[in-house]
Amino acid sequence: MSDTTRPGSNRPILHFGRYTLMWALAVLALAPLLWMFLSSLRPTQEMFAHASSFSWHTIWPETFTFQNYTALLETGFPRAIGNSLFIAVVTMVVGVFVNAAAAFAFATFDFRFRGPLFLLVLLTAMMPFEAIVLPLYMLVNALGMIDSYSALIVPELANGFVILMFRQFFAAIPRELYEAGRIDGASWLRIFLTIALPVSWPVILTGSIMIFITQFEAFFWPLVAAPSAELTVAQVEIAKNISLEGANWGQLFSSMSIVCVVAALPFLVFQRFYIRNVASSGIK
Amino acid sequence: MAQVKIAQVRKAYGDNEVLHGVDIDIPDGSFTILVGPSGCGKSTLLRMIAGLEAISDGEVIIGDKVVNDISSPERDIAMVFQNYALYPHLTVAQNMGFSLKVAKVPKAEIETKVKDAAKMLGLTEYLNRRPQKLSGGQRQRVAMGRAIVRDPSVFLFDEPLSNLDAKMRGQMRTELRSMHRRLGSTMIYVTHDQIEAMTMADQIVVMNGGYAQQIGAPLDIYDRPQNLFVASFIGAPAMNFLKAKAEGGQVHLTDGTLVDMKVSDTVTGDVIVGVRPEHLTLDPNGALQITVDEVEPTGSETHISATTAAGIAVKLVTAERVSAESGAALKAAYQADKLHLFDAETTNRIETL
Repeated sequence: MSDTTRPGSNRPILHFGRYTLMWALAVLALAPLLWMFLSSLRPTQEMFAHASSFSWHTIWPETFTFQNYTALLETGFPRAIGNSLFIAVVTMVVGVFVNAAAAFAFATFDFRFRGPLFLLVLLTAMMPFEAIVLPLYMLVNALGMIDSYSALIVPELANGFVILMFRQFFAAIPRELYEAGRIDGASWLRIFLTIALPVSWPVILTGSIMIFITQFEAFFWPLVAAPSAELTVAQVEIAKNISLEGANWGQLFSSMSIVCVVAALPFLVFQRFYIRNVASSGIK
Repeated sequence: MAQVKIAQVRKAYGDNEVLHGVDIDIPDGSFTILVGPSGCGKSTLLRMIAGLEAISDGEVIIGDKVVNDISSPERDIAMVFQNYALYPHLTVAQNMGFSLKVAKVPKAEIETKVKDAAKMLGLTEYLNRRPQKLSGGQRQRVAMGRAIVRDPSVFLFDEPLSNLDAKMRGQMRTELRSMHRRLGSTMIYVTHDQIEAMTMADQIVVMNGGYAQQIGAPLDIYDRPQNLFVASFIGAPAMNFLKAKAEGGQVHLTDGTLVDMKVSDTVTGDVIVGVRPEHLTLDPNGALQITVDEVEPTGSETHISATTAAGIAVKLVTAERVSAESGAALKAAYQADKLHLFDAETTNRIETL
C-alpha cells in the first residue's frame, strides 16, 4: 500500500496525533519491562540511588554491570530454569496430543453423554485454579506423585480450553475428509494422525504456545506440589529473592529478565508461521 | 467387480423414517444412477451402501456378502464426494496413493498405479501439486483417480459434478461414461440432475419421499413413467398435464374435448393426460386452443409457454422457428400414440389400449 492511500496521510495533524497516541501506549506498556531490564544491569548499591528524585539515571544506570547475572549461577536458578523448561516442553508435547485426541473424539464421534462430558471439559477451563488446588493436592498425593516431575506435568496435560479450540477446528473440517479416509481403508487412529492432525497445525501451534506459557509461568501449583530444592521451578526460584529479611533486587530483576526472554522465544519463533497462515487463509 | 443388492432397506433417525423399504438390484458392471429431488433419500442410500450411515433395517449386499455390519474400510468400495474431499496437505500423487499406502502396497507398485491413473485422467503434470493449486475440474479428476487406483468392486459417486460449471459438467459426463466402459466396474451414482441420469445411466432409479418410484433403463422410464412424479421429474421441459375424465372407455378433457385414446371400460373418474412438450405441436387443425405467453428460441429448438382454454399452463418444444407474439391465439395438436394417462387419485400410470 502506498502512503498516499493510507487514511489520514493527507491530514498531517491527525496522522501525527494517531502516532503519538500509539507511541504513548507502547511506551506505557513497555516501560516497566525496559526498566526491569536496565535495572538488572545496575550494581546493588545504585539500585535506589536515583529513585527519590526523577533524573536521567532513574532509568539509565550510571554504571553497567553483569554481576546480577553472574551471581545467579551460584543460586538454584539455572537448575530451576531447566526444570521449568523440561516441565513446559513435556507438558506441551504430550498435552497437545492428548487434547487433540480428546477433541477429535468430541468432534467426530457420536457417543452417549457427549454433551454433558464436553460441558465438564469446558468447566475445567472456567474453574479458577485456586478453587481446585486442595482436592487436586489430595488426589495427586493419593496417587503418590507429590514432589515429583509427574506432579507438575500430569495435572496440566488436559486443558479444557485447548480441547475446545481443537474441537471447534475439527468440527469445521468437512466431514467428507474423514469419510474419504474411511473409504480409503484407514482406521480412525490413522485418520486422526495422518489427516486431522496435519491439517490442524495452526491450532497445534496456538495450543502449544498456550500450554508452554501456562506451564512456564506456573507458580502456585509448583510451590505447593513440589517443595524439594531440585524440583524448584523458575517462578518459585525468582520469588525466593524476596524474603522477610529483605529483597535481592538485582537478582530479582536479572532472573525475571531471563525468564521473560525464554517465555517469549517460542512465540517469536512461531509468530512467523502464524502470520503466514493468516495471510494464506484468504486465498484458499 | 460385484453386483449390489439392496433389499427392503430402511433408514430412520429416531422416529423419523426417511427411507421406507427400498429394493434395488444393481447388476455387476452396470452404471446405476439414483436420481431425485433433494431430500428424497438418494444420498442417504448411497452413504448406507458406503457404510457411512448405519442401516436401520433391511440388507445391503455387495457381491455375495451382506455388508450391514462390515465397516467402510472393509467393503472394498471407492467413493467420490461432491466437494471432492481431497486431503489438502497431500500432493495429488499422495492423495491418489493414500488408500494403497494404508493397504501397505509396496511403494513401487503404488507409484505405477498412480501414474497409470494420472495418465488416464490427464493429471500427469499435476502429480506434485497440492489440491488448492488445481481447478475444480482437475480436483474432480483427482477424486476420481483416488477411486480408480484402488480398483474397487464398486464405485460410488455422490453428486460429483454439481460443483462444476455447465461446460465442464458436459465434458465430465462423457469422460465418466468412457471411464465406465473402460473399467467395466459397477458404478452407483447419485444426482438431482435428470439430464445426467438420462445421458449416463444403464439403469435409473427415480427416488422421491424415501421410496424408489421407478427403476429401469433411461428411455424406458422416459417412455413409460409409472406415476405422475416420475413423469414430471424425468424430461426437460417437464411433461404437460391436462385434467380429464374417463368414462365408458373414453377420455374427455375438462373442456369437453374428446382425447384420442382408448382405455379399459373399468377406468372411470378423474384422470390426468400427460403429453411431453415435444409431442405437442402447433397445428392449425389441432384440437387444443392455446394462448401464447412466451416464446424462447434456444437456437436448435423453440420453447413455447402457453395457456390452454381451460387455463392450464403448457409447454411446447418444436424444432421449427416460431415467430408468434405473446397473446397470440393458436392451435396445437398432440401425437395420439405418445400420450400418457394417470389416475388422478393414486397418481399411477393407466395403460391405454
